[in-house]
Amino acid sequence: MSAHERSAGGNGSAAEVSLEHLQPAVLLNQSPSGQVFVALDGTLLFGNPAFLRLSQIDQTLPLEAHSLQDFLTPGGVIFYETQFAPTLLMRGFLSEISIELLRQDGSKVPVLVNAVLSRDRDERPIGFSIAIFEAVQRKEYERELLRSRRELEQIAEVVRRSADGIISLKPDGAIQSWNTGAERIFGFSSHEMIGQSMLSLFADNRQGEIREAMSDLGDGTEVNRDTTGLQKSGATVELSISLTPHLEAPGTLVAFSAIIRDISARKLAERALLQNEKLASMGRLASSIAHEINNPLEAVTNLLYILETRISDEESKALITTAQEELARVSHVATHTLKFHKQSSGRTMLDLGALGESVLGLYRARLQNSGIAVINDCTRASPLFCFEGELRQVLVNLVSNAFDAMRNGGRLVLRSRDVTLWSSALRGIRITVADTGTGMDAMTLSQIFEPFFSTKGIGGTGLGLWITKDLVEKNEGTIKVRSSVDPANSGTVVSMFFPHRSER
Amino acid sequence: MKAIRRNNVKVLGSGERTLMFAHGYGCDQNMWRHVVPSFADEYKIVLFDYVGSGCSDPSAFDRTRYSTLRGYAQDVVEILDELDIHTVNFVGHSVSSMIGALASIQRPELFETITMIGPSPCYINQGDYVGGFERSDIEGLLETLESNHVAWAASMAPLIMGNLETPEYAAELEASFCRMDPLLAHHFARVTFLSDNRKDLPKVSAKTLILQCQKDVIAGMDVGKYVNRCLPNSQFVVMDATGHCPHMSAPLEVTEALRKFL
Repeated sequence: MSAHERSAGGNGSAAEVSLEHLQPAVLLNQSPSGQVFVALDGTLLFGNPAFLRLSQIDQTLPLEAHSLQDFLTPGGVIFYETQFAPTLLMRGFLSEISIELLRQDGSKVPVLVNAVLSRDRDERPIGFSIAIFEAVQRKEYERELLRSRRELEQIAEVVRRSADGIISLKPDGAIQSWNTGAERIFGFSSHEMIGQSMLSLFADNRQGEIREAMSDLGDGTEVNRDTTGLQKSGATVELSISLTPHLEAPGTLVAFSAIIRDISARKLAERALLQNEKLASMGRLASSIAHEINNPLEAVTNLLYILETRISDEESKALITTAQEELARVSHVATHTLKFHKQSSGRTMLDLGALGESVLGLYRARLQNSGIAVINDCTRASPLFCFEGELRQVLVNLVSNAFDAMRNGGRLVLRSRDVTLWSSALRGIRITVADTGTGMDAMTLSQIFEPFFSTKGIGGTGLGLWITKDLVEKNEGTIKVRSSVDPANSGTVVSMFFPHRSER
Repeated sequence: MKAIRRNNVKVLGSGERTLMFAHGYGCDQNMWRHVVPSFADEYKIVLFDYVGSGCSDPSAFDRTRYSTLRGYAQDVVEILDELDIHTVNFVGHSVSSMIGALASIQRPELFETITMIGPSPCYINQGDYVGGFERSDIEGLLETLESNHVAWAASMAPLIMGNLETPEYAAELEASFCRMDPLLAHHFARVTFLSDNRKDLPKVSAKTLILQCQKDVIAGMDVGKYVNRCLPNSQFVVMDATGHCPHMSAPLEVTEALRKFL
């Protein structure tokens, strides 16, 4: 730019601005933002024209008749008095504080505020110098952001607390988020899992199908699988998982989510139900066989009787007697097997002494062969009102367990008594099955009523006590087991209590 | 030493009697810096920060425990127990007046005197009672806090100030003037301004001094008089100081009134 051009005037160059325009007082007067000075208690001591305009202050009164608090909302006053002023006094400055200015006409303007503490020559605080900017658009934008953030936080909270595992993953399967449900299912904390591959959550032989499922996500397909997961403890867990891809234009997989549900309990219940049904049909089969056997059995018994009367030589007679005895045993087994299935439609008054005899009768030979002494002490209790077949099954299960625990001999006690519970003053019948067998440790004891828990290896179904408990409860009784593995005093006591009918 | 770490407890001075200063909402133990030096020669002085304020341990925050002022009062009692202090002269500003009152109801034997600076048992107008604010005003405060989350956190960056009256222990305090975890501040504001502890006042047996300022818009003259009427064993002193924080704006007057009472 030439000297000639500069002197022409009116071309907007720096030379046009005289020193007079740059006086601080002039700048303050013309400043587009509000500027005030207030005493420590908020009394207004100075306000520039921009502030006077913005606040619509009543200019007929002296400025000192107003305080800054007059131009704040009640909430703003609390904020000013409890946080703004004390902090300013101690720190000396505050920046970008957002408040609402309450104008004289009652309308509110959102503003941003910078403030510094002023001190006198002795360094004593005397007041605050405050710059005020309108922030209407900014505030609107902020409100919108806050609103959407709150919505997101609510959704995030729902996800975080969900009982199902909900995790988000990068396209390569690296875990990005991990909720409480996932923590509960796998035992890993989010701290341990974020950044890890999802594949590490599955048993080795299942990783292939998971990898395959992940590769299907790229074209937007949702994948559902039942599979086996691997917990932190090393235990496996039955899972159902849904993988949902998140695609962004142009059809790129940017992330996916996995919703994981622990279905172990469901699977276990399904298996138990199935197995129970198998046992029940086996029971039906056994009793129908017993029924079929019974008729020819009676015929053979009668035929032997006739034969006995026609034979005179002693040797043959002795043979027939032995045959009759053996036949009686077969007949006993058949009738008692039949009784299992002969479910009377309703409950009856059951003689426990007879029931004890009948159940022990089934095991008599085996118990004797193993050198087990049997004490049947069931004759003294009153009759029990129950489903006969079910109580028979309960006792058979318990006697069979006792027998299995005493392969090297011992003592089996079957006892029933009328008792009154001291804890509840409830009157009823207690049936006890006690053995001097090997006993169970606390760990085993805590699991005996779970389905499929067995210590008998291949021979056990793991359903005996599970069914027993179910049957006892069906007859309104309770069952408790105490056991000791102390070699000097080992054994197990199963104790059942059935309240009297009048007390139920 | 759980409470001592949790509440950033500082013990200064020496003397037979103990003075415990409890800060109000919005600040931390540093707000007592102009008052403490005058007592440090004669008294053992206990300073602390409420959980969420100053240099307290934010991980100790428990929404349920601190959902009423009782949780904060429980902290006061735990601090005294951990320090093995059996008698205390408690000085509480603003909401701490009520926290002190609740602590003294729980453990009367611990509290020789309570000094309340600008107390209010209830900030909300209810029936005939004039607390000074409506519920919507408190919502307004919470909104202001929310929109200042970021600015407030940023302004809490470490800072070294000149003009230290007590340079020997001031330096370590500089970093934390009125630091408040913004989310916990929001919580503390709700508890402070929405609590109603009017029913608790008559249960306070300790000798109490109420220091009332002129033109205190947070806890006005009538609220101060109400507290005076409800507290069985209280003195009411109106000061010349104005505003809500006389111990910061007029520390001398507060010091004198406190000395006279003790």
